[in-house]
Order: sequence, then C-alpha cells, then structure tokens
Amino acid sequence: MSWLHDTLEAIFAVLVWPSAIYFLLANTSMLVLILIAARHFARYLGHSAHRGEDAMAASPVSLGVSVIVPAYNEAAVILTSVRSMLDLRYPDHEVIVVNDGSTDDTMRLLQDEFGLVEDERDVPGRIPVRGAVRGIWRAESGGVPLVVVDKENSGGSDSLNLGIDLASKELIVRVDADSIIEPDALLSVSRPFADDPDRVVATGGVVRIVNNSRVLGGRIVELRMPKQLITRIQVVEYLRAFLLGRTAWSDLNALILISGAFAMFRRDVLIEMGGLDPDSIGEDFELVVRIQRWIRDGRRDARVEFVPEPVSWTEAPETLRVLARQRRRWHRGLWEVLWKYRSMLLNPRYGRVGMLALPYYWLFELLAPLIEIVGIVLVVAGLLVGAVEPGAALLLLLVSYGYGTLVTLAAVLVEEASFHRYERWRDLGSILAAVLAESIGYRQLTAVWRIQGWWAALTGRKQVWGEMTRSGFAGAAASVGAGEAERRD
Amino acid sequence: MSPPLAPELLQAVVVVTAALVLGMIVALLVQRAVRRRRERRSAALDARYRRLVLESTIAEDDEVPALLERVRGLDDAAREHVGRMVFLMLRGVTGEAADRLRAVAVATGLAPRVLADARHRSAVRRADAAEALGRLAPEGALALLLELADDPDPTVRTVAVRALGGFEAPEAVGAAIDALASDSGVPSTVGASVLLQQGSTAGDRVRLALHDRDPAVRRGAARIAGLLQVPGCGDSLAALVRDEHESVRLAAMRSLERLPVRAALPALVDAALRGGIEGEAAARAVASMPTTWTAAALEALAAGEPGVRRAAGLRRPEAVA
Amino acid sequence: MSGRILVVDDDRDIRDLVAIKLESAGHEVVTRADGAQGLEAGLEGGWDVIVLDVMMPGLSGIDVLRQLRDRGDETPVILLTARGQEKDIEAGFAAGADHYVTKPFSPRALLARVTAAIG
Repeated sequence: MSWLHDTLEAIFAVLVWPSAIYFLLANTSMLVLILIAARHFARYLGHSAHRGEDAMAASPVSLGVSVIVPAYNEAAVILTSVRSMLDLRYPDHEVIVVNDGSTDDTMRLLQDEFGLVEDERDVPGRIPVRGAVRGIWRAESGGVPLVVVDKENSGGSDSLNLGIDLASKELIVRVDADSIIEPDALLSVSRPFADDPDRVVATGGVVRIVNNSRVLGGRIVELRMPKQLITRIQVVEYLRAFLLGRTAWSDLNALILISGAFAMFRRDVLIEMGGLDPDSIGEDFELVVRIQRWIRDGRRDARVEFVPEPVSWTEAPETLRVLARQRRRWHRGLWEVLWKYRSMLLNPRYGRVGMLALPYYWLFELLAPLIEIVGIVLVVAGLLVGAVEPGAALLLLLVSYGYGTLVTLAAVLVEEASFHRYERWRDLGSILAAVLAESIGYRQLTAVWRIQGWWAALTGRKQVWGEMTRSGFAGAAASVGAGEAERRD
Repeated sequence: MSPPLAPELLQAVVVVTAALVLGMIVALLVQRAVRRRRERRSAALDARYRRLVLESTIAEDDEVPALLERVRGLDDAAREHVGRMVFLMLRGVTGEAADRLRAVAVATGLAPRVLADARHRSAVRRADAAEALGRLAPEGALALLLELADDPDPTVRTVAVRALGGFEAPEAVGAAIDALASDSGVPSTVGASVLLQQGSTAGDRVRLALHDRDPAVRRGAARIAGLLQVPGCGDSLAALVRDEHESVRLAAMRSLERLPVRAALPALVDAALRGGIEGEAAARAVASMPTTWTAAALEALAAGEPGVRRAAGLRRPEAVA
Repeated sequence: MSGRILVVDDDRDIRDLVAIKLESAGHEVVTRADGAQGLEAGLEGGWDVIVLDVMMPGLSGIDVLRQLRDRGDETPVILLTARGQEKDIEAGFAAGADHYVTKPFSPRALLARVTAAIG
C-alpha cells in the first residue's frame, strides 16, 4: 500500500497548485458574474414601471412575430397549446404549427378544431428542409393567422426550419407545444428589438419549471414548488442559470446560450444563417454561437440580448432516469458545439465571446464535472491510504460546497427581490432545502451523467454519422428545399 | 498539505462562507417579512378607502366637493395610499370617471409631488414623474413633459414622449416627430405609436416628415402614414418605395398595405422582383391593393421567387394545375 | 329597467369600477375574477347581461363566450378588450359577442351599452 500512498502524495503535490488556481478562478468568475447580474438587476428593476408594455401591446407599429410550434405526437396538449399561443397578448403575431410526422391524432385534432383550409400559396424554399412536406393548411382564428404544415418526421430542428421558411413576420420565436407561455411573453422578449431594432438580432427570456403548479387552459393559475426533491433542485438550478449567468453574460455582450424553449430571432438573420443545424444535439446553443461568430466575422454592430423576465414554463424530469438522459444529452451538445467552434476559443477576433465566454464554458461548464469527479476520487483514495488528513478533506469539502451554496442563494435572493413568484412560506422553505441538498448527491450524480454524455460523444461519433448517412438525410439536405419537396396534393 | 491549501486559510474561508450563507438566508427572510408586512398594511388601507375612491367615480356633481374634502382630511399615509390607488385605476378608465379620479389625485396632494419630481435628481424618479404627468394631466403637465422629452436620460425621454400621446397640442406632436430622429435615443416605435394616438392632429406634421433629411424620421413617418390615413401623402409614399434606405422603403411598403396608391405599383413590382425580405414586403403591398388595379402587377409577380409569390398570395404551380 | 349582470375581469380595479357604476344605476351585479369562475357563474344562467374581459389567465373571455354559446346560452355579452387588440374584437364577434368596449373604458359609455342590451 505504501507505493499507492506515495503515488497519491506525488499526485497531490503536482495537482495542488493547479487545482487551487482552478478553484480560485471558478469562484472568482462566478462572483464577478453575480456582481454584474446584481448591478444589471438593480438598474432593470428600477425602470420596471417604465417599459411601456401596455403601450406596446396597443400599438399597431410593433414588430410582427411568427410563433413556430414544432409538434411530434402532441395530441394530448396541442389544442390547448395552440389556443394559448393564439391568445398571447401581442398586436401582430401569427402561429405556425409544424406537425413533424406525428403518429397520433395531432393533425386530425388541429384540422377539426380550427377548420383548416388548404394553403395553396407558394413555398419560399429559402432554407433547406429534409422532411418532405405533405400539405400546408391555414385558418384565421380571431384575427391571428394560423398555418399548419404537415410533414414527414425529420426532427425538431428541421421542423423549425420549415416553419422559419413559411413565416412572414419580422421576428421568429420557437415554442414547444408542451411548454406554458406567459400571456405577455411576446411583449417582454420582443422589447429589445423594439428598443434597438437595428442592432438586436436575438433575445431570450427566463425558462422556469412548472411541475406541480395548477395549470388551466395553457396558463398557470397557481404556482407551486414541485413535489420531488430532484425537481425542486432543478427549480433552483434554473434560477441560478437564468437569473445570474445569462443576465451577466448579456450585460457583457457575450451571451452564447439562450434557451431554445423561448428564443426570439430576427427572421432575416435566421434566413441568412440557413436556419438551425438539424444534426446538432445542442441546436439552440449552436445557433447562438454561430450568430455570435457571424456578428464578429462581419464586424456587425449587432447583439444578442437576454430579458430577465419569466416567459416560458417547462415540465422538468421527475425521475433520475429521465434526468440522467437529459443531462447526458445536454453535455454532449455542449461538447459538440464547443468543439465545432474551437477556432473561436481565445481568438481575440471574437472579442469577449472568444476571450471570456467560450473559455468560461470550456473550463467551468465542460471540464467542471470531470474535475469534480476526479477530485472526489483522489480525495477519497487519499483518505483510504492515509495520504490526506480527514480534517483537511472535510475543510476542502466544506469550502467548495459552501461556496456553491452561496452562489445559488444569491440567485434565490435576486428572485425574491424581483419576481417573488413563490409566495408561500412553505415554498420558500423547500427552495432553501433544495439549495442545501443540491450539493449532497445531486451535484455529483449530474457530474457523472455529464461525463457519460461527453464520453458518448467522444466514442460514438462515427457511429452516429454512419446512421445518418444510411438513412439518406445528408444527401437530401443539400438538394431538397421545402419548395421542391414531395407534396400530397 | 502544501501552502495554497493551508488548513488555517481553509478554516477562515469556511467561516466566512458560512457567515455569508447565514447572512443571505436572514436577508431573504427579512426581505420577505418586510414585503409581507407592507402588503398587509396596504390591504388594510385598501379595505378602508377603496370604497371612497370608487364612489368618487359615480358621484353627482354636488357631492364631489364633500368627497374631495374627506380626501384632503386624511392622514399622510392614507392620502399616499389613495393617490397610488387612483394612479393605478387611471390605467383602466377614461371619460368622466377619469376626470373624477384626477380630481381625487389632486386632493391627495399627488399633483404637486409629481410636478416637483419632474426635476428630481434621480432619473428613475423623473421617469416616474413623466408617467404620472401623462396619466394625471395636472396643470402645467404639457410644459413639463416637453422638458422631460429633452431629458439627458434616454429612459426618461422615452417615458415622457410616450406620455405625450394623450396631448394633441402642436408642441406635443412636434416632440413626437423629434423623437423619431435617429439620435433621439427614443425607440422609433414609441414616437410612431404616440403620433398614432395623437391621431389626425398629427397628420400635417407626418406628411412633412416624409421628406425629412433624417432617414429615421422618414421611416417613422412612412410607417404610420397609412395607419393614420393621412390625406395627400400618396405620392410621397410611392416615392419612398424607391428611397435610398432599406428600412424607409420597407416602412413605406407596410403603409401602402393600408393606404393603397396606384402610382406606387411600378416601384413595388420592381422591388418585388428583386426578391428577398424586401421583395416579400413589396408583394404584400401589391396584394393588398384593389384587384382592379393589380391584375397586371400580379401577373408580373408570377415570375418572382417563391417567397415573393407566397407573399403575393400566388398559388404553387402544381396547385394551379 | 334594472337587471342582473355578471362581470368577469381579472383586474380588480376594472371589476370594481364597472360594478359600482352599474350598481349606481340600480342593477344587481355579481363579479368573478377569472374565466373558469366566470364560466361557472355564466352557466348558472339568469343573467340579463354578461360583461367579459377578453385577456384573462386560464380561460380567456373568448373561451368563456364560446362555451356559453356552444351550450345554447344567448345572454347578451359585452366584451372588454384592450385598445389596439383589434383582433380580439374580430374573435369576439366570431365567438358570438354582442358588443365590445375598449379599455381604457368610460364607465358611463359601458352603462349605456348595458342598458341598451337589456332593453
């Protein structure tokens, strides 16, 4: 055992400085992000009464918005969902539902409910789409135009691309059929475009967790904390990511991730970008990084902005199995995008995105789970063979988790000062419990899943590509635009 | 262990972190408790004075003085609360009821405070004042709002311009036109919306603004000329379809959807055939004009790209067959 | 002539302002604060006029109206819509509304509408 003891001691001797520096850097950068976000919030909330959303809602000169809803087997929610999109408070919007080859009743329900008639207008075909279009339908419901496209199954990103192609308004927002949208969501998220129409190209808002809340007709009537601990922890995670992280990055004009669950883009920019990458797992992340590259490559005076206001509510995983799958997929997407755009990393040409945001994501998002797990393994091994004193190990543990708790609490504090949506004392209690519980077990588990996702990406790459080539997607993408696609009529 | 992770240092860090965590939890609880107490207090005041405020909106003329006297006799906290209540209610009503509520606001002493706040050092207070001036419209509001429309802070300017929507005086229209300028710091939709609210009184100024040297002013004016149905601006709008700035051209096209001008058709067809987003906008404008004018134009658009054909409402070749 | 009037709006200020005006003219007014409660009350029947806000969380005014009409209820309905939301007016008439009043509204004008609808 003594050789193990000596080896571990040698490893510690080598790693102690780098890990101390990593730890310091991680904490300091998070602290800086918190401070930036806090400053931003103080200013933002000071003017919260002056944003003029009522005036905007009443003004016919507001920019038009196309709401695109990709739907795959959403029969259970599709009608409520489409109705609530049509009812959004906004002076000029249209709803485009893209039925992604559902095998359930989604299409028939839509047809019966809205009295769809065939839309025989031409299809622009500006963005290549893989799934063949079966038919396009339209209706007018209460002054809001509704377009329903029926196409063969080809995935969410490809469906969205078809929707973008058919959209006619200045702005585009993607909404998932199963998420709940705030009635004023379009107003909040489109405001940066209205305030600065020549520069803002993309915006995103806060996504939150709806589990266990009372929902009626696609709207939240009573917000409650979820029942399961792992879902509660996710509530806290979301608060931290949205209220601190994204707010701060947006303030630095280096935002590279806005959630696809409610992101708004200028249509002309999306067309110029060729839409989403249908092969990407983290397609929303990929798109925003691509847009940031496009802005800097073309020396454009443009920006991506975050609106720290709750706009969309989503159902979070309630079981470990589903959560594990989600986190593996997220991390895999993160890795693929970071790797794809590695040339931007530390490249001064890309300004703060290249010099700050991307290094941050590499170091403290991509590598973090690996470092955390390696650290735990080493410390545990060191304890077993006596290379680490138990007291020191405990201290180390307390420092790192204490700090994590502090960061999360800052997010909870911001929420309490700003939106305070969780009104019951009991809910506040379960939020605090979740903040503390996150460090014990949950963080380590997600770190393992994230490493698994990364590993899957590193080892399974060729295989994934092989499958795609076999099904003939790659060849179809280049040549078939929606306009030329096969149609049923 | 080596120096960077010396136990003494770690211990100190743990203690500091723990203290901060506790401090934040306490801050959280205090914050919520304070907010709850404020809400309770406000609910209590509401229960006592809401009826009074509501009654003012239906009071007969001869009952009003007595009501206002009651308001004036309230203590400071109550008057402040009544002022806030009135301010919120004014969002929803117009007409006689709104006049009554404004009188109540004056009786609470809100008006002088708002007038004073218009020159407050803090930009947030000035913006609040601008909003209140618009809603309460006390004596002297217009002059102050015009002043705030030139405020050094862009948010204050924006709120002030928005508040000017309720005033139809030529100066108010002028301030809204000025807000369209590219260097005004006021979002162009705000200036345009205000002109729309001011309605036909803004017509003459909008017509002139179509020829402004600043493209941002031309764009704003072009965008609303159609919505306002400004008489005699057809030729100018048609000319703006060939403006040197894309955003002006797009705005003119949108306007032509509402205010059809036959002379604009050749320029619209040219733009539509060039395709792209602008082509779509041109095609939509063509498609919204009376069919007796557009038969030839639509025939020409049949040769356009699919996106333009879609915007013009033209069917797919297979669908036609 | 006085009647029984149901007022459904999620905004308390509006609800109260409408109610006090209608009551001052001798009508009996019942208020509800959201679409679901409004629909429930509407379905109980016995109303001379229903005043419905369009933009409410949960069931919108249009949804409530549609469901009332689907069940054969022909009570006159006046919609309260926000200024600038012309599409609400279109949707309202399509769903079977009789009149609309835009917000900010004049309580006096609303009372006149209600009186006309009863008479």
